[in-house]
Parts: sequence; structure tokens; C-alpha cells
Amino acid sequence: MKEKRYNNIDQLFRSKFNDPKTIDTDGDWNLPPEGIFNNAIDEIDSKKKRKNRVFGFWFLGGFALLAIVSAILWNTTKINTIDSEIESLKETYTKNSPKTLSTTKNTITPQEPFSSKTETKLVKKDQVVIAKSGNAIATIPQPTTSTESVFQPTRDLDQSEALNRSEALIHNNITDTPISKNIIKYSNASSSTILLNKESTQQTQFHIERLDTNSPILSISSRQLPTSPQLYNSINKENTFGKYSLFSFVGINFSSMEMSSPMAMNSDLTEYDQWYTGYQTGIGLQQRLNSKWSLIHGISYKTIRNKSLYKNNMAYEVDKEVTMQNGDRLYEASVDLNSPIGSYNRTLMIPMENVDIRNNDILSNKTHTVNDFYIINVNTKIVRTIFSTDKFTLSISAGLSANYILGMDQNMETDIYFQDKSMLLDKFTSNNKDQLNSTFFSAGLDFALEYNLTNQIFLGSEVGYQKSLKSIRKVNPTTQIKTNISELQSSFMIGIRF
Amino acid sequence: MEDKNIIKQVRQNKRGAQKLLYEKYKRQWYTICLRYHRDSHDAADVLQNALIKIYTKIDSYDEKKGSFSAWSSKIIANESLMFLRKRKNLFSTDSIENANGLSDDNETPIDKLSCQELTKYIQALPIGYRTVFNLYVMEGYTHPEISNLLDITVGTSKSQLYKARKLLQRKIESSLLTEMK
Repeated sequence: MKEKRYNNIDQLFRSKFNDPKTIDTDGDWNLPPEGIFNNAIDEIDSKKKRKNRVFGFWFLGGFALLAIVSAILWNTTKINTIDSEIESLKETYTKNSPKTLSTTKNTITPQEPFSSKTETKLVKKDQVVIAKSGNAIATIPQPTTSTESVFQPTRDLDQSEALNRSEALIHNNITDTPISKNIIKYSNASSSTILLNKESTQQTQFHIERLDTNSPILSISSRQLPTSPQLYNSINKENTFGKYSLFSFVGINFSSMEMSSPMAMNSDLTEYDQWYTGYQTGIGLQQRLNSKWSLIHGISYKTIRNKSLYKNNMAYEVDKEVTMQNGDRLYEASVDLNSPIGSYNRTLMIPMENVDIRNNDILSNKTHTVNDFYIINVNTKIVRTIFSTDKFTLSISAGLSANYILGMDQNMETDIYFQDKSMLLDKFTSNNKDQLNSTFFSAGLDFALEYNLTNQIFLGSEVGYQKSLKSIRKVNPTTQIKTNISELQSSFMIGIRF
Repeated sequence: MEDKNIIKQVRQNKRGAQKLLYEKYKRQWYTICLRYHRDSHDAADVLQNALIKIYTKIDSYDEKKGSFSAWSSKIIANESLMFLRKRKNLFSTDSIENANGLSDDNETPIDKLSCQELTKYIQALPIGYRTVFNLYVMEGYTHPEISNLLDITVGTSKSQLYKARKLLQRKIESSLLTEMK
């Protein structure tokens, strides 16, 4: 019955509003305000530009990631080969050392292009020198005494030999046989290893092979590689080099901020422009607990930005009417303008000739704010190494941080309208700076990729996500603001190990 | 120029065609906004946002599935709803006493009621009544659909519609009585 009773009403409204002719010829009441089309087009254009910028950023990021992953894979292949050779060498050494240590004689007979000049030398008691090339000394920690043989080139070396080394020092306890015989014995084999030297912090790879069975020329090649502290420490157990690293970083953050606060009556936060870009910079100290785990303590400075739009209606109360020196008469009133961190009071001067404002007339304002928050962040993270080579280290970390908000810089752009918004009464911009002195806590997860330039200096990049925990900031004794901040961070870092 | 040709050019991002489309439909679109929003400034904001969506999503418009007018009207209505959802307490802040616009002024007979007057009556409804009335009567949604859209119960949707109609009925009857006198 009810439905039937009201069918006529439904029909009335449908017939009126569904008739385009009626709508299009029914006066000017439904003509939208000027500027909507242009504003919409401008917005579309600016969104396209923003989209392009974001796309460009992600493209560069993706490209960098791809390059890093490619480099990792490429290096992993090489490193794996070297790693297996190390193991092979260690086995050889372990098998042979007991008898060779006591029976070693300097019986090496070098082949061309090396001279037969030899030199016997006592090696450190706790080390066995396997090979030496230039300043790089190959050692495996093992209590022993041993001898070394030095060969000098007897002629100019060809290019490949020159690229290697003109001087070689081979220890003969690798195989317990003269090196020349060893070469014959392992005619096509290569004996290579990663050799460590703390001072030079380089890795040297030796190839000892017979190039031609009919012409057993000794060929010793080496290549210099940065040594990672992890690798160095894995061989030299007693060494603690690389236990600490100090790094600095700079980067950007995309932050999303939502704030709620008890605003004045009829105020309404209508829009947040989320994921705005800020920047961050800071330093950190990493303490290696073992080969897999470490701790990071850091401090950083960052800015977080958000944009918001507030609208509110306010009952206008005529404070007073003012007559200026030039005879202009103005209404004067103070109005409260809202922002994410509270209300601001502003005195409004409105020429009386344009409007007739009665007491308690409703005005409205539309306030765009851009807020920059300046934050000091102190954090502690626990780090787990996922993947490590002599060149790269990939790690994941989780941690907590305390964020101290030093202050904020707020730029407001406000339009104040009369009643039905038909008349713009005032338009102004203002800049407010506040010292907030409040703290919020956040939790985060990061991925970091480090690249060892040398064994001491490294570069890195880090991406992470942080979310604020419970965050209630007291702006003044009566106003609290709940804040929810999410941050996507990306940084580049440079550091030194010691 | 027919809609089909205009839309084709809008899809090619031609500014002239975008303007032409806007000029053709702006009253219809703005009328929908005004039905949902008492505040003309809000209505203008909604129209602007909806316009951005219409231009950027126009590739998804399929003329086989309906007219452009219906498709764009749906976007305007959806944008209005999104705007309203951002507001807190859609169904509790605005009481029946706030329906000031239903006071008896400028009354006219039912057959002479203009779109403008009807829009004023709708605008004067409390926001919850107004939204449900628009969705049910003007957009053709069912109560279960409205309950999903607004996250309310079907019963609430029905009662809001009933109250909206009752207020509008009272207003129209009052108009007729005044005219007869």
C-alpha cells in the first residue's frame, strides 16, 4: 500500500528529471559554476605528469634492480667456481700436509720462462704460504713451518704472462712433488684458490697448468679481487676485521598520512593527497654478531609531507564594523581555520559595500594545506644476511624506531565564501611554523643490498616500509591528533668497515 | 554532432570534443550532483571529480550496453556517493528537524513544479533520506543494492525511503492546498 501510495511521487520526480529538455531549459539554477571544465582538464594533465614521474622513478628503480641482480648472478657463477676450488685446495692441503710438513725439500725445478734460481725462506709458524704473486700472499692458517721457492722470469713474457705476474713463489707442499712434475701430473688441471692478505685485502687466483704436454711451460696467472670481510673471516677465524661498519645514507620516502582531530563544528576533512614525497638522510652503525646476524643502530633526519583539503562552515558573528582612514567601511571578525594540527585564528576584513552580513550568517571556507613535518628518527634493527658473496650482500632487517617531530611548516591557502559560496569574500595564503615536540613510534621492514667496492668501502641501496604504531600527539592541552603514517623508503648508502 | 562522434574524439584526447561533451551534458550532470548535495560548492567539487573520471575512463564505455547519458549519470551518482561516504555519520548527524527547506514557501501546484523546485525539496531532505531516495527512485537501485552501497541494513534503506517520500508528499500536498486556496 505504501509503495502504491508513493508511486505518484516517484513518477513525478522521474518524469521531471529524466526529461533532458526540462533540465536544459529550466533557468540557470543547474548551470555549473565556471571553471569546472578547465579545472578538470588541468587536473587530468597534472595527474598524467605525476604518473609519468612515478613511472620514471619505478623504471629507473627496476632497471637498477635488474642490473644488480644480473651482476649478482654473473658474479655468483664466478665465485662459485672459486669457492669450489678453495675447497679442493683445502682438501689437498689437509691430505698432504702431515707428511709434507716434515719432508719438504726445495726440489722444485722450474720450467721456462722461469729461472732455476731458488731461495729458501722460513714462513711464519702459524701459516703455510701456498703461493705468492706480487704483494698478494696466499695463506691457509695451519701451524707449520715450510719453505718457499722463488722463480724469476728468464725472458720477456708474452702478453698473457705479463698480465699475470713475472714473479711466482710456489710452495711445494701442495702436492709433495716438484712443481714441474706436479704440472705434468695435472697436465690439464688448474690449481686455483682465493688467497687472502689482510693488508692488501685482495684475492688472487693462481692457475698452475701445463699448457702443452710437449712443452711443459709453467703458467701462473692471477687476478685481483676485492675480498669480503666475511670470506676473510671464514678463513682466518681469529681475525675480527669487518665486525663493525659505519654508513651514511640519503634517500626519499613516499609517505601516506592520515590525521584525525576534534575539529571545530561543521569542519570536514574532505581530501588527502596521499603518498607524497619527502627525503631522508642519516647514519648508522652495524655490528656483526656472526656471519648471519647483525645489529644496526641508526639516527636519521627526514621530512614527511602531506596535502589536505579542509572545508568548514562557520557562523559569522559581527565583532565590529571598522571605518578606515580612507573612508572604507569594513566588517571585522575573527575566524577559526582548521588544519591537521589544529585551528588557527585569523582576522577577516570584509568590505561592507559588497555584502550585507548579518549576525550568525554562515560563511564557509575551503583550506588547502601543505604540511611538512621535520622528524628525527632513532632506530634499532636486527639484520639477517640472506645472501653473501665477496661482492654482494643481501639482507633483510626488522626494527623499531622512535620518531621525534621537531616541527612542522604549514602552507595554507584559504578561500572564504559568503553563504551559498556565490561570493568569494577573502582569499589568502599563510605560512605557519610550529614546534610540535612530540614523539611517535614505528615498526619497519627493510631489504638492503650492499656492494663491496673494496674490502673496506661499500655502497648499498635499501628499500623499506615503515608504519607508525599507536600515535596520538598532543597539540595543546585540549587537542589530541591521531596520526597514521605509512612510509615507503628508498635510500642509497656508502659505508666503511673496520 | 552525435554522441558517438564526440566520444570517439574524446577518446583521442581532443580538447574540443571534451569541451563539447561537457557543454552538452553539464546541466544534466550538475542536476544529479545537486540532488545529492545540498551545498552547491560540494556539488561543483563532485562534478569536477566525476568529470575527470568520465574523461579518463571513457575507454571503458561500451555503447552496446547503454547510452552515454546513462553511463555518465552512473559515474556522477557513484562519485556523489563516494563523496558522501567520506562524511561521517551519514545516517545519524542529520535529523528530521534539519529539513528546513520543506517549510511552506514558494508553493506551486504539482503539475507546475519545476526541476529546480523539486531539486530544492530533495536537497532539503536529511542527507540519509536524500541519498536513499536518489538511489532508489532516480537511479533505480533496489533496497538490497542500496544496503550494500551504503553499508546499512535493508530495513534502514526502506525506512529512509519511506520517510523521504513522506516528507516530500507532505510538501507537495501542502503546495496543492495553497494553490487551491
